[in-house]
Amino acid sequence: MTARPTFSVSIRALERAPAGTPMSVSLRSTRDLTTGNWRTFRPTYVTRPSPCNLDCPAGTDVRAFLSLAADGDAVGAWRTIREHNPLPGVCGRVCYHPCEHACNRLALDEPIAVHAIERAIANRALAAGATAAPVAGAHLTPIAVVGAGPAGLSAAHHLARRGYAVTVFDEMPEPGGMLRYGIPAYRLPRPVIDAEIDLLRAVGVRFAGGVRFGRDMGATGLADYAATFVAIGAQRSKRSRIPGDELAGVRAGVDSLREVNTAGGRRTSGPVVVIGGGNTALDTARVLRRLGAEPTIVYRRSRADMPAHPDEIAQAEIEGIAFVFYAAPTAFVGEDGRLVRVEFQRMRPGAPDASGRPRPEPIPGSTFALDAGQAYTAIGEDVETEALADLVAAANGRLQADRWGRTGRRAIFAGGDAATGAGTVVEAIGSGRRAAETIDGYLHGQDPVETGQAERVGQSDVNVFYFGRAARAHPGLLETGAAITGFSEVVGDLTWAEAMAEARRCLTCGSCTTCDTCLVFCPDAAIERNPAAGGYTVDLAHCKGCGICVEECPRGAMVLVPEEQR
Amino acid sequence: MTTKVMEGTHAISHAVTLSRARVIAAYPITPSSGVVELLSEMCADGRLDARFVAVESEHSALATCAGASQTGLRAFTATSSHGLAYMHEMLHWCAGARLPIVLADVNRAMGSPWNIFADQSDSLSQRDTGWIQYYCENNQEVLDTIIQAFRVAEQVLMPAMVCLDAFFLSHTSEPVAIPDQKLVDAFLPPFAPPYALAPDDPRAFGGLPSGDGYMELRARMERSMQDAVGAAETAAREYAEMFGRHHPILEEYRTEGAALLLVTSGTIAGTARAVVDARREAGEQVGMVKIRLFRPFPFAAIRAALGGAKKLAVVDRNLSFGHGGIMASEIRSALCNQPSAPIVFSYIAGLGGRDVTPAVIDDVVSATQAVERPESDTLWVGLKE
Amino acid sequence: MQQVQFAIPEDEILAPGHLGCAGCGATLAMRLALKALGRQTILVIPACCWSIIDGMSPYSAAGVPVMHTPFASAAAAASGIRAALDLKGDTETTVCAWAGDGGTFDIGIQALSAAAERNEDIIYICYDNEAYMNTGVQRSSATPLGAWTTTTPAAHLKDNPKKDLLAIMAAHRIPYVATATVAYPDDLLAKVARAKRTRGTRFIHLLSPCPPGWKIPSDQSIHQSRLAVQSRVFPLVEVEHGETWTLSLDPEPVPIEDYLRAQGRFRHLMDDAAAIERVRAGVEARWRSIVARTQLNG
Repeated sequence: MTARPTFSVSIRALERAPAGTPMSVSLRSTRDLTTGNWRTFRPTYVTRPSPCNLDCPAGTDVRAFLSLAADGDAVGAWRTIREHNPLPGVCGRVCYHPCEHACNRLALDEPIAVHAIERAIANRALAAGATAAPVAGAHLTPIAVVGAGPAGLSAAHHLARRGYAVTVFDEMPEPGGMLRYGIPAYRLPRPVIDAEIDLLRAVGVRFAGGVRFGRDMGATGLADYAATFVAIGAQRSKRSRIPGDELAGVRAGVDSLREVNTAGGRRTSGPVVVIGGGNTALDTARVLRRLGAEPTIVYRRSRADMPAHPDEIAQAEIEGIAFVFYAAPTAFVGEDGRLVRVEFQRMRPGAPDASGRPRPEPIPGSTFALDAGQAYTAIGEDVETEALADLVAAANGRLQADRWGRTGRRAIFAGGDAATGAGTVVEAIGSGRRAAETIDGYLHGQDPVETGQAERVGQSDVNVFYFGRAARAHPGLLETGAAITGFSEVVGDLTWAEAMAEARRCLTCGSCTTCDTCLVFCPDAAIERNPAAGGYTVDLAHCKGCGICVEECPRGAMVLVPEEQR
Repeated sequence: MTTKVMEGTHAISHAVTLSRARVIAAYPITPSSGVVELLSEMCADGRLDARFVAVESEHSALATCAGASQTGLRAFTATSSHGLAYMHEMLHWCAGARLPIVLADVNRAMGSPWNIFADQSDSLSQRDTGWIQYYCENNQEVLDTIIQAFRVAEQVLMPAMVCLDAFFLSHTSEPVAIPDQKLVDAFLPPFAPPYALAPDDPRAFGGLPSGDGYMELRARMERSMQDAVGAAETAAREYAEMFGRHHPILEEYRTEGAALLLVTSGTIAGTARAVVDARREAGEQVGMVKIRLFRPFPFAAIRAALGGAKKLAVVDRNLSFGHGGIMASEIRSALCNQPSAPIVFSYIAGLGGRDVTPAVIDDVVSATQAVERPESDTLWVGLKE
Repeated sequence: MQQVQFAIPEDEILAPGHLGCAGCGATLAMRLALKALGRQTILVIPACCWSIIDGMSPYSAAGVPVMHTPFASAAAAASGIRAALDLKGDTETTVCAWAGDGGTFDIGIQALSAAAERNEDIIYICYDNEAYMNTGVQRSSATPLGAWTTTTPAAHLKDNPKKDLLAIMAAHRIPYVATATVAYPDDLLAKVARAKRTRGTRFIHLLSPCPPGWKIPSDQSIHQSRLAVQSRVFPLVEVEHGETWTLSLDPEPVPIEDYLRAQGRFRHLMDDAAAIERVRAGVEARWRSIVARTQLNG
């Protein structure tokens, strides 16, 4: 008998057919199968900075406060703003809102009216009796802040929140600096300033008014303080250096604003000339208009080149203020020591200068004159550096300090306009906040940490399809007749409902709002809700990495990461 | 039990009614139309609690039956010739899906050219689709076989085809005994498939098998087909016990001691009986074997019945081009490897409904007796000059 | 924040682990449609991508019963299931034939037309990826004018417009005919839900982008689906009883080039201004004819 051969396969009759179902019938779910190994890219949820957040000089989390406002939480939104900026009511009115300039909503229609929402938040939160968060674990390390303008107030706020005993010194009797003594009340009503400064007092900030550094106190007066933040601003108007600028009737715009804001303005009349193109020029002209004058603003460049905010220019035009562009003053002409006329050289655009704007150049032989009993120059302000000569070094008319406020001198920090020259409220607030962090670090032996700038979410990262078009909210303006006969606030409030609706226009760029778009469009049913953490998790056992979730995410809050880089 | 005179198509209709089919889908084609005409009437007037779906094609007819069967209900269709050919894809599908649908095929010639008369080539060209196939001799057998076919099909989960000759049965009136419904119910239990489409037990049927599953499924199908031989024998025997009529899967008629056996199917078997009777009376050792169950092919019964004869005269009303008579070739294959096998004479007769009279069969017997071996593998009967 | 709002049922009936290609529009279509159909549904799937997508036996992704059937037979098999359910006294379970464009526009149209003529109580959803994708991108009668497929190669791009199945099905005067696509999930679900509520034959033509077949990146399925609607290539409509035509969406039109440009299958068209013009003319004519029909409603 031969040995049974060995087979590589079974060879048999069907008497014992393999057991199993008679037909092809499913017995299990494909959930038991993993398709995650098909994947070469992994979808990942990320939070990336929105343009508004990146572009806010104060560092405000605009995206977050708009989300809270959209949900109707004014107090939450207000507290979120105040994490970075103690002056939402002020900024809601006078900030030039760079947050709106790169708003991704431009891909669809118009930017979010962030400033108007911020203002409505401040109104509503204060009306609801919102108060500053109490300071936990206060210690009493004294810190001096020289200058009660926005930079000083910001530094005081952030230091007080950290538990320091802050005293703010200022030459003027009341705190606020340029907010109070520069910006006219029709743009920034005084109760708004007072209310926000009162909140600083509530957390223990002391204000010492009428103290001018170098006159009423000196460097030795700071010996009791563990650190000093110097933010005296830029108060002194630049001289025009034009023949006749000593004539009666020729003044600095900033000086007249301070006068009006302290003593109240005197009625006047007739044509006046305001020279300059910035906010000081606009403020000066509009104040004079309210006092009865007929102002003409003369600027050496074009309207588009004016540093003043376009809204301000538009309002000035409505209020009947005349503009002359491409003209530079050559002489103030007086009679009996009083100004009667201003002579101008006509200009034209030349080659671009360092700012990228065309440098104005004279048109030879083209001159003209405007009759005026008063002329105001508003061509910039200087820092009174000499008062601080024994405290902070100066260069090019500014106090010497780095971005973090460090002066190179122990315990002395500087910021705001006096150091940065930026000339805006929001820059000053940001400067004050950074200085406060630096001082806190300094007192704990730490240097400030420069965090890298994360990549912003741009228009190509958001999917505007998911957002319907919606017109931007425009607050109403005070009727012109009423506006030019007093100092009532010109720009109106949004109602809270309007502000919420406007906040709902926000795309919330770069931050997951659990809108479900990723979940809805996943062909692999591989996006799961994550109730514990809020948001979603990707079922990596099944996700094939098609990228639809990332492509469709309305707000750029997802990215694809190559698997091999993980 | 009542007896009525009826055409073959109506014998089918009555059998389907007795079998309590629930879904009937069909498309008209001569000569099977009478089946569904009566059934649609029976559905409409309530004699049959079933849905008649008047589809637009035979392909859809069988697909509709498949849907119903996959949902767990007994389904039936009837067709013929081109209609059956048009179902070809679905025939394979239903077998693979293990859907025990019963189909009545009135055997009709395939075109071209057009021909509406009896010819088994339509159903025999579907022999490899996995359907059980019965071939019937008379209208009573048709009725009885339909009922048995449901039972066998559902028992082994393979579909079944019951075939009858065009016009010779479909349009010929014969007395047919109609069994009592209660007895039929006792013979044919309700259809209860192991799996069915049901939302509370969601399963996918017919999906691509993973791994090597296809071949194993095919082996299970083949095993079930083999099981169908025994199931059909049992069904025939129990049917005879209950109803008094025995239709064996392979009928041996006066085969005792026969040196020559006529082997045939369908109505030709009836003609062959008469010739056998005459030859027996003349003292010749001639018998007849009727193939009733063609798929699964009853190898054991074939070998037992035919193995002792010296010569077989197989009469095929069908043709596989390039091969010959289909039943003859199947019989040759069954006898291959057997210790002593008869000589097989393969006769092609009656294609396209040409009459196969007793004289024709008698000539076949004589021709078979006349020579030791056939002059050719296939012999054509009655070709005109 | 501005919330993106979807009214999508939470129940995930389709299981992951299926064999759909990455970014498959037809798979998403099924996932969304099942949410509207619910678990008391039986699917009939003829030969098509979904024959594979559902998974290899003994696995299934659908989460509801599935009957696979040969290519031409979806509507007929669905009719048989419907008949069987009705006879069992189950008139609530939805029977849904789920077929590709080949199984609907081409080989299955006979059975579909017949089922519609009989007004069978079934839903028939054609997920249209505009070619025989499962067999390797051969042209079907759903392939648009000017598209590349493996049987309409670049030298002989498809020279015939897509068959107007919407009009064909509307002409059957069945209770409900609609078009939908995956970029508009709320619309898609609302239409499937409406179909589910309606009795008689209901037909939904569901445009389903195919990344490999359309030659688009896998993350572009939704975007292309959206562009198809915005460019008026694929109007979203509903038709009741063949008579009342309603435009579901009148999108701000997007240039048709935006739709064609991103798809590799139209790449050869892009430097042929006359060909693009021909495509545009066809699309616009059909759009006008649909709008005109919506205006005929009593």
